[in-house]
Amino acid sequence: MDKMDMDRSADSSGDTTDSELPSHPGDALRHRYVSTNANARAVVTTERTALPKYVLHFILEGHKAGVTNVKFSADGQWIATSSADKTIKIWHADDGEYETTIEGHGRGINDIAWSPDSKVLASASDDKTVRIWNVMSGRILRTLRGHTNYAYSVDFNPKGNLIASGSFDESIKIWDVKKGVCLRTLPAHSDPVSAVHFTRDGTMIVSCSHDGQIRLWDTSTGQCLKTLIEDNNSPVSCVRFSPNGKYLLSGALDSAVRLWDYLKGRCVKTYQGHKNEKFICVSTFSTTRGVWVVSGSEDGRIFFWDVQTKDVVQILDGHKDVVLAVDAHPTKNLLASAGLDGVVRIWMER
Amino acid sequence: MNLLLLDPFALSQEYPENLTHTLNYGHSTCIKFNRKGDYLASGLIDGTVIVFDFETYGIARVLRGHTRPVQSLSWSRDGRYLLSSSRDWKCILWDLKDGSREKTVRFESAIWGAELHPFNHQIFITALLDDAPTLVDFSDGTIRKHLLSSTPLQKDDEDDEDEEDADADRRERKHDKQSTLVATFTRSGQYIFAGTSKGWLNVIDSETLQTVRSEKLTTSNIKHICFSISGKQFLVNSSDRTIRLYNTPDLTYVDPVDWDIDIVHRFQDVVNRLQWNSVAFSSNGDYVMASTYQDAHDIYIWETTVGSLVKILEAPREEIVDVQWDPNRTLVAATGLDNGTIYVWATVTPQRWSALAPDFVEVEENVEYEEREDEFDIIPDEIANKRKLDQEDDDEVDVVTIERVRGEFSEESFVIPVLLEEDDETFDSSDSD
Repeated sequence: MDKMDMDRSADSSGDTTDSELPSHPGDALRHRYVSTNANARAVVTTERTALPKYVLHFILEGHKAGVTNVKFSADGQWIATSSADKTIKIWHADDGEYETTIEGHGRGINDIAWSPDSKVLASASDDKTVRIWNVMSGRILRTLRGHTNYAYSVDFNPKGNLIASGSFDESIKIWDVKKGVCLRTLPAHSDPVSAVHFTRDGTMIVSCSHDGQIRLWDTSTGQCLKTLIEDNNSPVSCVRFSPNGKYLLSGALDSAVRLWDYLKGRCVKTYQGHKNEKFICVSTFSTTRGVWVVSGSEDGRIFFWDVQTKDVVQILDGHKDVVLAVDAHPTKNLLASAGLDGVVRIWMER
Repeated sequence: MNLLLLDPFALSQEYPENLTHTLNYGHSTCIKFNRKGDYLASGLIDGTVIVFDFETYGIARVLRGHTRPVQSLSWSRDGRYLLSSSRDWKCILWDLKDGSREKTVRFESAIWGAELHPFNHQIFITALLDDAPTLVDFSDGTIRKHLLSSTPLQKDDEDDEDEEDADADRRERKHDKQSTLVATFTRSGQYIFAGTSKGWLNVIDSETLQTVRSEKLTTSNIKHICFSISGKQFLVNSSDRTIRLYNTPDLTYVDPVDWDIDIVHRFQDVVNRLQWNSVAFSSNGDYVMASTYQDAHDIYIWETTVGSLVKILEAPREEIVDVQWDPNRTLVAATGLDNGTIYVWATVTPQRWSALAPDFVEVEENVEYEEREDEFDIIPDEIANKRKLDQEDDDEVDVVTIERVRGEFSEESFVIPVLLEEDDETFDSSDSD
């Protein structure tokens, strides 16, 4: 398929079933470029991974207010969604069956994170606490108090014994999960911290903030290892490590998603085309078939970019309001998206 | 992964200098790090075994089973199993996944120490007080005990110069009744090095269970034998107040009869002439440390190439008994005798201020700043953005392949599941003592 006519291959209604190209999991992405000028359209030769063809699989409804985050569990069996209606809902990942609701926070929930064994969930809320829940029973296991303003983001480390949380009080706290106490408070930024994420081996934490900075921290000493900043100082809304931990993906409120090489300290790819100026729209990697960067947009659409060429390879329509969160399933070609309209959509690629 | 970003000068610190943590959970008698160095097992005087998580300095597991003080601890290679021996004449193999007892082995006498085979958690060697050293094997389901000999091997030397000396030597080997006080596996598990009460080192083949070589190292009790992590050297601590450092002979390609067991250094306290409570190698094998007996509350650290004393770590007010060096970090843990507190020494690195902004650089001296030609040019936003986008490489970006970073511990190490439920084990530190 020639690159020229896939330019705006928007998936309009979402419930048509296409005749699909057989997908080859594990296809290596091989390109050969003729021109090295980044602005010229690269002429792609053969051996290319087929473009994403996600279609709507099912819709999860039930939240009474906007859904702030959606996450697949590490074992790929569950979906957790958090909402401004103060609840977290758990759904089955394979058929979208509703499982249970977890209640207890005093105010809307901003972020959720699964533990590596998929049994425990952590949530950060506007009530300034981070709570740890047993997913199946819905029972609260620990309440982590200490932040002095909204808790905005939370992440488990890969071993499951530490939690990092970022807050509107401009600090990051590292908590001991078992005891439920704060081990360390990092004076991280000079504006609300919008996201925190651990590396694959748990030795570093990356954080980003409304002051435009992305910082890397050493988990054991709590010291800052590196700072990255984009020239226009626009607030960074989300940041995460790439699956191999060598790159950072950040979304900023100047409608650009950037890929950084943090060792060199500069941005190596910029992905544009969507609209992101006011809300925190999460961006993530989808690596199950091709390597794509996915992000929600404020016009209700979901954008897929090719990691190497920076081209928009698919746009999904369907949400009626800002798409706040997207998440890719760890092993299957599934994508979950959620937004202010309170509806969670699960997209699949056969 | 943080190794690439850390200050190289901080990383090159070879031994710890500052006392950073004190762990006070019960009265600890012996400690052992797991292979990765992220968990520390501590045996208490009431028989409980506690596993500390060294990322949070909290308790990961409490293992109850022994009724008397714990004598020794030994981790399996993958970090999932822990063998503890106690003065209640039992050895228990614990499964750390849920804290259950995988195996319990009873003996007919008190146990000096027990150590797991480096590759097989179903084989271990023990040195007993009133009995021969025993190799226990339960790989096939049943507990089999194989008794090993403490008697030194007869030397079959034809070119012994002095006939009388040779006779005396043979008599000594055959008739001197001695017991094995310490037994440990070599790093490959092929041989067992056993030290006796008369100062002999017996090397026993772990498959045939025959003594293949014996060497008299000293005249007094051998208290400890330990290998460096690479296995290239080993230390012998004996009651004659000397620590001897040897180069391990070539165990794979050379016949035991032809081994050269060469002493490299002798470490002694020439000032106070004190005994050494415990000895250990550093993580890279370049340093040896030992704790002193009685009034001196110190840990001595020597350098192995020259044999010189490089550092003395002082413990506040307590005699130090067991010392352990973290296998992957510059960190030392030691237990105190009076209170059983665990002291932790580590390196403290100051924050690098150049990390706080992308253009901060730490310089040695003042640098005159020279502006670029276009430093103060005013460029419209669109052109500036376009230029920035142009600068981005078209190089391929690999976000998926996981690369191993040199210097990191990359083997699979068991992660002890975190127990969070209310009815899980709790440890009240006021219980014991």
